Parts: sequence; structure tokens; C-alpha cells
Amino acid sequence: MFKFLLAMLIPLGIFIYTWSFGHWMQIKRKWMGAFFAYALALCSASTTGIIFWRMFV
Amino acid sequence: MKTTTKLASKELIAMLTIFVASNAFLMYPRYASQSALEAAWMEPLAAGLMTLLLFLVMEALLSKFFPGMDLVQVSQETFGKFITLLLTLIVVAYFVFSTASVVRQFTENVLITVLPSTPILFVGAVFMAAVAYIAFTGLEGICRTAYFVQPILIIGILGLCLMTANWWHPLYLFPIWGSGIVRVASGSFAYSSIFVNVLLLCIIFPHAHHPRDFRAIGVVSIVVSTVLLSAFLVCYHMVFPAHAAGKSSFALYELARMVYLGRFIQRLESVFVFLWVTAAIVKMSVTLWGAGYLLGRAIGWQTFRPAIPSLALLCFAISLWKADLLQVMALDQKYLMQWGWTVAFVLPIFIVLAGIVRHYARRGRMGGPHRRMTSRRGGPQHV
Amino acid sequence: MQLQLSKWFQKLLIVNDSVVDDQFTLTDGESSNEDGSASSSQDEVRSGVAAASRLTSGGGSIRPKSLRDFLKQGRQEYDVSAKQHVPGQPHGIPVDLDETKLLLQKTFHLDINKDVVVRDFIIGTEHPWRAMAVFVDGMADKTTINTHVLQPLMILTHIPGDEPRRHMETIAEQLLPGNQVTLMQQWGDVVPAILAGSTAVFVDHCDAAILVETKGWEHRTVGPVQTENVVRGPHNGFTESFRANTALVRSLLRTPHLVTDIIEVGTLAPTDVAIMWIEGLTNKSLVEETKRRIQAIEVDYLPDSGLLEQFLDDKPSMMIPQVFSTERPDRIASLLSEGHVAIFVGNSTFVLAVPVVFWTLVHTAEDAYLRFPFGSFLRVLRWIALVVALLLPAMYVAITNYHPEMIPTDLMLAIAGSREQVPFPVVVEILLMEFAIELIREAGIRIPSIIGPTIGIVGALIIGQAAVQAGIVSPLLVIVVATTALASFTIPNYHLNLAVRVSRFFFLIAAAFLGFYGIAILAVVYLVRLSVQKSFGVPLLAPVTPSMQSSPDVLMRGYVFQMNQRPEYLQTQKKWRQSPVTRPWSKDTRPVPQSDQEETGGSTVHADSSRGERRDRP
Repeated sequence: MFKFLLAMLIPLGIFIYTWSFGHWMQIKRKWMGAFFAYALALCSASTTGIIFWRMFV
Repeated sequence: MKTTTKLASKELIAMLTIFVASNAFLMYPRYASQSALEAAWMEPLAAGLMTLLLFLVMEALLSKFFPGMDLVQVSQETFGKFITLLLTLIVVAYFVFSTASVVRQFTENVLITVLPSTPILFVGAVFMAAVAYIAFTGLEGICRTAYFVQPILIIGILGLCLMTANWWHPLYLFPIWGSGIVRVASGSFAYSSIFVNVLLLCIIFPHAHHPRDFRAIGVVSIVVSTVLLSAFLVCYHMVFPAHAAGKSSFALYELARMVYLGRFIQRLESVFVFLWVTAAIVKMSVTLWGAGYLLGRAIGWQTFRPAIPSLALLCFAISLWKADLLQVMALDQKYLMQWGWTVAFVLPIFIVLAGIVRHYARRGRMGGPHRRMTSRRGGPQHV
Repeated sequence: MQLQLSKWFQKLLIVNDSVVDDQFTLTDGESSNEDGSASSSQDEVRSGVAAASRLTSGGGSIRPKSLRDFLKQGRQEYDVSAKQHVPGQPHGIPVDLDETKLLLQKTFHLDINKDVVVRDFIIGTEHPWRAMAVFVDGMADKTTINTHVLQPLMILTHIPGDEPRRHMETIAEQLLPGNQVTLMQQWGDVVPAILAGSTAVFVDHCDAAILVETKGWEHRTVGPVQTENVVRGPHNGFTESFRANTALVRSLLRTPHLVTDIIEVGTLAPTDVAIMWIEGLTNKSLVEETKRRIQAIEVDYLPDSGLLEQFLDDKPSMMIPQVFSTERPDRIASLLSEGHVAIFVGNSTFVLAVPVVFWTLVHTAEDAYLRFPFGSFLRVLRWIALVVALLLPAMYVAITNYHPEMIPTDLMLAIAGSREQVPFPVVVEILLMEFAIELIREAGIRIPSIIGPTIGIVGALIIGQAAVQAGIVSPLLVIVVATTALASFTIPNYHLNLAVRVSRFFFLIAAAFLGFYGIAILAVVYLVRLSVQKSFGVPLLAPVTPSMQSSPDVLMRGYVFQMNQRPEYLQTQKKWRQSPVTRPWSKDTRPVPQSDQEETGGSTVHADSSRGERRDRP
């Protein structure tokens, strides 16, 4: 479990980064862009989460 | 947006050449050997020839009906934004999955050859981080680096071919038709997706310094990479018998191990680490960049850069999906290689043809004189 | 520190407008003025701090208010303190001499400051006028003051019997034989001139001052270069005198089109910064950009070109220098003639040139003075040395740790044999030795020259003998480290030298963790980083990538008669440096016959354009 949490640190950072990208798009009122950015953030983070979970836990 | 990045034709040629020729370091020699046996070297030639024809047709159509427009713009003109988005997502998915597959093949190769006791997670993460960084700097950085390392790559491949000359058995190349003309042809067709550079070129050529060089860039990069791949396969098959060649998963390494020029110069596989690491990095950063760029174009992001880390993470995670290399290779062969040509060739042709039909339909309706479409939308200029 | 860290974190994790920022790109002067980017950026010149606040408030989407307030407050504090330090208020010179003296006392703190000399005297014999000369002791030449200011005014002056109009013009025109005499009405103009070594003469009942040029402080005379020695070529280097330095370049490049613009930088104590370029040749937007960056600097004091360089860098965090610095006048002259811009800073011995491309950093002046094969040979040697200095220790670690199979068995046994006694892993061993070498280098610079020779003995003993005999390092490693050190000394540019010295450790670490794979990845990443970096709008790796036209003077040194064109990346106003046919009498280098020329077409056009250009050269 500890290994999993440790491995998820960088994906978490990337998730925050991409999420803030969506937020930035939202500020610029580009709703579609924001939606896809949020989607991408969720997609990549969850995929990584599943894979790492399978690997480490 | 600010300035459009402009790339010299030489750099684009270098990038596209490396993009295709680096398949020599991956599974392509294995697949070709399996399907064509002794005639494996014909597969890249046939596939290259086919690609060249397709490319010339496409280039003619594009420049006649849609001068100065890239494929995304054509698609947007033809199908509207929504369907373009869907089509783009297909290509993006293809890029993401092929990046993932290459990352896995590549890291496994590294593990097998030079770093047997390092965890794959570490090797892959370092590699992916480098690729993401390079994709993040944009096409400019990728192309310039490609141009810089191109001579090393060409000299490396040809040098490797020549250095194994003392092991050459030209008789290994017979029977000349290998597994038979039909199988060679079907193999060439099935694995022609290594020439996905055509698709890429149709998307990025407006970034060339002189978009007029579009045709020259395409032709030169296709020809050079075809010759390099073929030459490599000829050498590979002169050194290893066809059946043995079909079983090895890393042709370059096997070949480099054979180098023996006296006691002092022998077993140069470690030197070639530089070669294939650089080529693989360029190749993968191109696909990663392509995925990000296309997403940005279709969705209307101001810049695609912030999406790169996420895409890289996605690729990395997918690359670890299967537990071992053999499963990855099976998937790669079954889906990416076998069906890649639909994305690489059918999709662009389909878009262009549909665009032309639509164009004529509109002209018929308007009854006006023949009018060429010109580019109207800018799209994100950051590359 | 905490603020720094959180900023760094924010930059890493948060997306804002800065992701679409572009680097400045050098284009030909005309078009860049049209697209308005230059003019809009001109506005930003007004105040560096204001520009900074505007730029940083791009991150304003996060905490716009507090950050802007913070910067505003900082700016106010800075302005107040800067105002306090400005010497002399901007008003005229008092008519009464005693009042002037009071003002002098206030400005220069004469009651506590003994450097400023005020010499009272009387002009003329029949109708005496009170007057005084003011100068800074040590900055002004005393002989000049005695013979050209005091002597003529006090002794040789014979003013006609009738009351002459007490005009300063009379004194300036007739009585003072100095070679540069200026009449100043404003107090604010007089003070800096006195500080720069001139002598100010005030006369009673006159509301002006006469400034006599008497600069004459002590400085080193033009001596041999300290860091960029050559065998063939001039040996003089810049010295600690602003005017001597500009004159050194001007004496080499005697053209009326060589112009110098001087900008003062520094609010507490201004330093002269001279920008030198060739009018009608150098790209205009390059000159503008240079001025813009220098004018934006608001500091209290700018002591040296090393500091200016840091203010001008495109990417300060990068190790590779983005501004070229040299102490050779001939280097600056040739760069100017190529279309670069030179920057002289106060009395600094190093002169800057912008933009710079990576390849220039490995060139020396001597390459050009030697004949083609030898110039090229030296360059190739230096390129190899660069790679060796950067990668040799990393390669050694990678080979011994990860790829022993690639070296021949005998050699591998030799290495293994020599390492038999050594208790450390290779990385530790090599880090120890590198540390020792770096110590010797640093000590070699800092050590007082009297005990200088000891350093050689100590170094040789420690590295050559003791360490090996004690079994701490293997003899082979000593060779590796010594070769690396030797190779790094051949890099002519000091900044690049330092960059290589530091980067070597990164490669070492990469090799220790991942072998050749790590080295290759780091090298590619570094290459990409370099290839997208610009120096004053010019890609750092131009003209190789992006590939541009250029004379054969990049990796190797070609024939001098083939170097017809200026580098394309500089976008100079005049492209041709010499006529394509510079040796018409020589059979070997004669141009292609007429029929061929028409076929190719290119060279005909070039020849014509160069001839045309020569005609309309200003």
C-alpha cells in the first residue's frame, strides 16, 4: 500500500497540473476545452491508479 | 496567437525519416521476417512504394482542392466540428496506443540488453519523462534534434550493416520470394502502417517554411526511410537465417552483438545504445506531440502543452497494462500493426475524398465557378 | 526561501498564461517593426519594475491583488531610496560664488568628504574675479589642471583695462586652453561630470560652470590577455578603462559607420554602458532589443559586465552562456563586422557581444589567423575535447559498471586488476578524484602568487602518487580524470568551461544510475533544451539546427576566401562580406566558367548582388 501511495505522488502532481489547465480554460470561457482537460486529467489519473493498484497492492 | 513556428524542410525530412526508420529497432524486423521469411527486405520496399503512390495522390488532391490547408482544416470544412473531433479522437487514440506499445517494447529491450536488474518502472518512467519533456518543448525542438542526430542514425545503421560484413551469407537470402509472393504482398500491406508519417505530414506541413516543398518532403522521407529499412533487413537476413530472425525481438541488438573486427573492436551493442535511444526518443516524442497537437486542434485549446504530462502518463500506464512482453507483442501485432493502415491511409484519403465530393456538391448547388477553398481558420499555432 | 519554493511548486503544478509565452525572435529589422511587437514592447522599457509587475501578474490569476500590491510597494520603496541617492537636485547654478560653495558642500558632503578638492583663486590682475576650480582628487590629472586651468587663469590672464563683460564664453573661448571645454547651466549636469574626472570652474556672478576635460585616473595600461591566449594574432586585451576599450576596438575597425551609444545604468552610481554596432549593417531590431533590455535594468550599481550579462540572459537558469564575453579586441571587432552588437560596461575588462551561438563559444581568434588545415585541426581537437570533458568520467563509470563486455578482455582485466586494491565503488572513486581536481583548480586561482608553485607539487603528489599508492583510487582512473581536466582546459570560453565542469557531474550521476542509457537520455534532453533556446532571438544551435546558410566557419574552419556571406541567423542588412571571387588570378579558386554559371544561375545573381551592394555602401 505504501509503495502504491509513493508511486502515485507524481501522477497526482500531473493530475493537479492538468486540472489547473482545465481551470485556466474555464477562466477563459472555453467550456469544451475545459471539459476535455478535466476529462483527460481524470482519465490518465484513474488509469494510472488502476495499473499501479494492480502492480503494488 | 503569436508567431507560427516555421520549420525548415531539411528538419522535417529528418524527423519523418527517423520516425519511420526507427522501426528497425523495434518489432518490425521480427514481423516482416515472420511473414515473408527470406524476402523480408521486400516488405518495406513494397510498403514504401505503396505509401509513395498514395502520398502522391493525396498530395495532388490536397494541393488541387485545398491548397494550404491541413487535414484537420479539410475535415472541419467537410464534416463540421463535431465529427472532426470524433475522427481526431480516433487518431489520438491510435497515437497514444502506439506510443504506449513502443514504450513497452523499448523499455523491455533496455532491460534485456543493458540494464537487466533495474526495475522496469524506473527505466520506463525516466524514458517517459524525457519523451514528455521533449514533446513539451514542441515540434521545433523535436525536428531540430532529429536533424542533429540524423547523420548519426544513418551512419549508425549503414555502419552496422557494413561491420557485420564478415558474417554475411548471401545464400540466406534465397529463395528469393521467401514465403511466396502472396504472403509477401499481404505482409507488406498489413505492416504498412509503419509509414504513418504520411498522416503526420498531412497534418503538419503548414508549419514548413515553404509549404510548396510538401511533396519533396514526403517523397524524400519515404524513399530514404524505405531504403534504410530495406538495407537493414537485407543485412539482418544475410547474417541470420530467416527463421531465426523471426524469433528475435530486437534485431539491432542481435546484429550489433555479432560485430567482430579483430580482438579490439567487437561486441559493440552498448555503443548502439546511443543510437536506438535517440531514435526511439525522437519517434515517441513525435507521436506524443502528435496526440497532444491534434487534441488541441480539434478541441480548440489555446496550447496543447499542458496536456502533454497527462498524455505521457496515460501512455506510460497503458504500456504497463499487460504483464509481459509477449502479450504486448501479440496485442501490437493483432491490433496496431494489422489495423494501423486504416488510420494511416484510409482515414486521410476518406477525409480528402469526402471533402472533394462535398466541394463539388456545394459548387453544383451554388452554380458558381470553380472556387478553391482557402484556409480560413488558424487553429492553435503553437507547435 | 519559503516563497521561492512555493513559487516553484506553483509553476510546476499550475497552468497559467505563461505557457503560451514565446521567446524573442530575431527577424529582419523592417518586418518586426511592422508587426508591432517591437513597438509594443518598447512601452515596457519605461520601467523595468513595472514590466516585471505586468509579467508576473500573468500569474495574477492566482493571487492577483496581493502580488501586485507587493510589487507596487517594492517599487515605491525603491523609488524613494533611489531618489535619495540621486546627487544634486535639478536646478540651475547659483550666481553668487558663496552660494555655489554651500551647494557643493551639501552635494558632496564636503565637511566629511575629503576626496573633492575645491581650489579658490582669482582671475586677472587688474579687475580680480573670484573663482574656484572643483575636481575629485585622483580622478583628475593634476598636471592638466595646473597647466591648463590654473596657470592660464591666474598668471597668464591679462584682461584689458576696460571692464569686460563677465561672460563665461569669454573665459571658455579665450582663456582656457583645455581640449574639451563645455559650458553647463544645470547643476545636475555638473555633478556627474566632476565625478567622472572633469574639473569644474565656477566664477563669481556667473550662472554657469565651465567643465574642462581633465580625466586622468590611474589604471592598468593595455596589457596582454589573461584568459584567451593565442600564439598567432594580437596579444593585447581590454583593460580597466572604458574609453581605452572602445578605442581599442575602434582602432581595429576604422569605419565611420561604427557607432557607439552610451546608456547610463545605475541609480546610486551610474555606470556607462556602451552599445557598439555598425550602422547600416547590423540588424536594427537586434540593436533595439539590446537597448531595450539594458534600459529596463534598474539597479543602484552595476560594477561589471559579468553582472550585466546576468541581466541580459534570455534564460538565466541555463548553464550555457547566452551572451558572449571576451577580453580580446580583435574578437569583438570581427564579431561587429559580422553583424553582432558589442556591449562595453564601465571599466570592465570583459566586453560582451550578442547574440551568441553555441559554436562561437568553442572558436578562438587563432583559428581564423591560421591557415585552413590547422584552424580546422584545432577546432576538431577542441570539439573532441569538449565531448571528452563532458562525458569521459561518465563513460568510464558506465563501462565499468554496466557494460564491461564492450571493452576487450585484456583491457577489462587490466582495469579490474588496477581496481583490485580499491575499496570504493567506481562512482565514489571518481567523485573523490573530481573533487580533488576541482579543488586544485580553485586553489590555483585563489592562491597568492608567491606560494603559487606549491600548488603544482601538492596537486601532483596528491593525485599522481599518494592516492594511488594508498589504494584509494586506481591508476587508470587518475588517467581518466587527468585527461578530463586537461580537455576541459582547452575550452576557450570561461563560461562554457564552467558549464561543462558542472554538467559533467549530472552525466556522472546519470551514468551511475542507468549506464549508457542514462547518458543517452540526458544527452538528448540537453540537446533538445539547447535547440529551442534562443540568445537575443537567435537559436543557440543555429546555423546547424535550424539549418541556415552560413560560411564554412561553424564546426570547422574553411578557406577564408569561401567565407563570402555573413551568418544568416543575424539577419544583417548586408548579406555579403566579400566578393565571391576574391582570388581571380588563382587557377584553383577561379569561379566556374561562364556557361556553367548560367546553368546554375545562383552564383551569377550573387556576384551581381554583391557588386550592387558594394556600390551603395554608405
